[in-house]
Amino acid sequence: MKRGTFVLPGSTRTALLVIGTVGFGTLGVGLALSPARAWSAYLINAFYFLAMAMGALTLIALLYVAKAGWGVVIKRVAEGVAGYLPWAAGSMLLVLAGVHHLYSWSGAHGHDDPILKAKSAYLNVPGFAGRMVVILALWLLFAGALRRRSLAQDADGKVTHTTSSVAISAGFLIVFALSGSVASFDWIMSLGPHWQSTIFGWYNLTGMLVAGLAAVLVFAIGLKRLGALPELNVCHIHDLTKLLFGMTTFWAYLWVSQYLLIWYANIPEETAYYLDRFDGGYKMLFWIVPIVGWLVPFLLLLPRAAKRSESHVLRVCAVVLVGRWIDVYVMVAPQTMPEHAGIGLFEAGGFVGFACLFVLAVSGALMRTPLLAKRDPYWVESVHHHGT
Amino acid sequence: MAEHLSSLRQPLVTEERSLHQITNEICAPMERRPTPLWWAGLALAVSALVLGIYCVTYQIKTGVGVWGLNKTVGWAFDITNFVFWVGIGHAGTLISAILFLFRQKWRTSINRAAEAMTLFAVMCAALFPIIHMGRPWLGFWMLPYPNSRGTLWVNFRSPLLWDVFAISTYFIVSAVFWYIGLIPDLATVRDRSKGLGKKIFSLMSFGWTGSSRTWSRYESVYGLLAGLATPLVVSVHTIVSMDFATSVIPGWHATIFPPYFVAGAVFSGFAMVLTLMIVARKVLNIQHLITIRHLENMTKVILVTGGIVGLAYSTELFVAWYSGNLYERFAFRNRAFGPYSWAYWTMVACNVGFPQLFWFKKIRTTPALIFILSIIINIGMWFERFVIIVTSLHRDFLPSSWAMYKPTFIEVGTFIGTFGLFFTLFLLFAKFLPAVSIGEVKSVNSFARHRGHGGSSHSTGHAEGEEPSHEEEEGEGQPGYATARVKAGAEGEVAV
Repeated sequence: MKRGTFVLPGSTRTALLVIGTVGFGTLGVGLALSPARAWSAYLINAFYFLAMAMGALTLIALLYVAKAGWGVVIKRVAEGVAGYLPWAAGSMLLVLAGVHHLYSWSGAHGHDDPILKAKSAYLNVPGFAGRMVVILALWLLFAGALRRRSLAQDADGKVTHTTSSVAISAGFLIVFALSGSVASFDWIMSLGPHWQSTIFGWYNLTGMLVAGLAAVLVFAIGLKRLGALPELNVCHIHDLTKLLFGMTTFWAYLWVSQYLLIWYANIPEETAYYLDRFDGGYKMLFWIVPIVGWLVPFLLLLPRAAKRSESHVLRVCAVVLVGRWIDVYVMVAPQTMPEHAGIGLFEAGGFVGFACLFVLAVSGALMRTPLLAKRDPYWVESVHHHGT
Repeated sequence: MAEHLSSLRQPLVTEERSLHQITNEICAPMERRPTPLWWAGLALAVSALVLGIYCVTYQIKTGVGVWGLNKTVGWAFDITNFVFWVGIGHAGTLISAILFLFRQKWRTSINRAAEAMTLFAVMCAALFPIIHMGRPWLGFWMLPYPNSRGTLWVNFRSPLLWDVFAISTYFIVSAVFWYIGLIPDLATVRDRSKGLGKKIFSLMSFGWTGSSRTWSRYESVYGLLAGLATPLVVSVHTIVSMDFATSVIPGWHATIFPPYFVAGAVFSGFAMVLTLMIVARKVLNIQHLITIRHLENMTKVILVTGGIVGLAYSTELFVAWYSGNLYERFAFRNRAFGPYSWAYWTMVACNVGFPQLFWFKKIRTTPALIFILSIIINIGMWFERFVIIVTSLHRDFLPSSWAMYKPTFIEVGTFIGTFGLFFTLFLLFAKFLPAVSIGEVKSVNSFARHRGHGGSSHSTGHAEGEEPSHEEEEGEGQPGYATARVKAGAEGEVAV
């Protein structure tokens, strides 16, 4: 493949379209046969892939704000992953169609429940939909603003695009800290409307960044292997992987903070959340989350050489991404289908469908523009990056 | 040496200095007689310390009853001050360890003093639980070891005991880290001094030779300690937060507490570093080493951590309402509108309101304004702990027990005494040890001044079409830190 450009072969594209259609078709059959379970599978996968796009966008913003020169080489890759965002937003909006299957507070019986009544000013369908629209619109707005400036710089090479991107990124990080918290409360935490945890927003924001980092690493290494991104050197991979190592550990820290404090205080309203995950066959999956999401990547990435080996990093990213999926599953499924844990055709179909859509969208975004942001003022630092 | 820097990079340090000049300037305060200003500062600090010693002696002789505690508010000033000081003790090791791992080279001129400050702050913090014991001479009972006291044994399930472990570990590792960093500089001072001073510094510098091999070993140890210290920075305030969050008291039991406390600690720690550094750079005449850019970078850290703290406040408030729980809702309504609302709004204004001024570059680069804001943040963070602790306790589940808390003279005096201890130690440090890391500042010397030296020859555009791969060989297999030092050393005076 030519340096600096990426082309998705037509046959791969067709294959992705066919497989993706089959995946979504399976999920569609599920919606007719067993709507509650199919909607749950839909939400899990929609949120899972949205997390990657938002994580990549957060990474871009962090690189701008920190004036991290080294990261310019992967800027277009991260923009590509964030390029899934319009699709992610659309897929989240579709959740509104299944709101009654997913969120017990949206039903009529909410009126008899004193706790739900106390929070009905917040947990109601119009409010939920309104917040979702505003949140997604804000995210798209910021993503678009950053992307436009990045591309405009390719054309005119003006430094002002970078300086204004720094300001936009700072704004985005503030807006995302707030709106991302609200989104996790609304879309995930309110599945169990009697339960709450203050750390839940930060836990999900960190999970998104972890997913985004892993996705960017996978695409970046993939593009390098195709010969499209030879500028990506071992030190870029090392630094990105260090960030992944750090963020998975931070995520585990938040996991422990929530679990330990709820376990220790032992208040029935709070422990109910974990008891739901110890019943109905979820127990094993529940304990797999910290193992696959943190312990395994932690041990595998600890040696310095491990963070500098492409193939090793790819394998660890795969582990991390599996961990992210199970984490989202364990947050959602015990609430939506408390009786029986199970990962079956619908979950798999949803995953395959969304995965194909994700790869197609990201490839599209990567194909549309040059992969090398050569006129970025930090480009010179990034191609000569040799950190440690 | 090809440092490839973007045209957007501003030089960290603008005034030209040779390596020898840097040594002279940093060692100057140690080699000249103390100034009247230093004596005045020491006199003030020691007076405060004496007041503290008096208050603590009186309290230990009389009993903890001399504090303003009552049956509802059983924990107030002592624990507030403990958390306040521990929080301040977070910046030093964060600057030394975490910023080191993030390759933030600007840390080199502030890390030494910040680490010293960390150690002194942790000492001040540790005093409070020991004093609170009432019989501090039995403090060693907190250490778990086989003993002849029968079944008397520490309670491993208590976060208060975890505090003992976390803080003592943190103190030991921070002290070792700080001292290891000092060794090359102590050797520099040794080589410049005569007589008794030379003997003392010879002993303290462990026979440092400055050979490449010594440096290489030193770099490995430093990197390793940085890695070890990083989780410790996070662990200390995590465990401090658990003193509260493991309870079932509304306002204390929140899962967000661990990361929120850590962010708050870094926030307050950087505020204290700024307070001290803005004065120290002027008094020690090292404004060209600790430049406006250093101060600006620190205000940005404050802006970020302050934002996190603000997010935590709003999350707590929202979730208290969202929980639908009567008691949670009351705890927060009482905070914001109850009899201690003045303390709550002081906290919000100082920690969330005022720091927003740092969005303006003008304010970020005016030392006098930074100084004022750093004091405001110190006050705000003290009130944060006061609000969390006292307002969550003073109106408990039984309205007939509701009470107000007011500190007594002894409590206030003890708190002032810890400030005395803190500043006494800091003034002694600034007089008798190199307050800025000589070796580390030199190692980034050429980096820091690069742009001031026609470095634009490597700016944007030049990379177009250039193959970067050959750059790989340079420094391969060596820690970048050591490389930087070797480069700076090899170039010597020429680089600057």
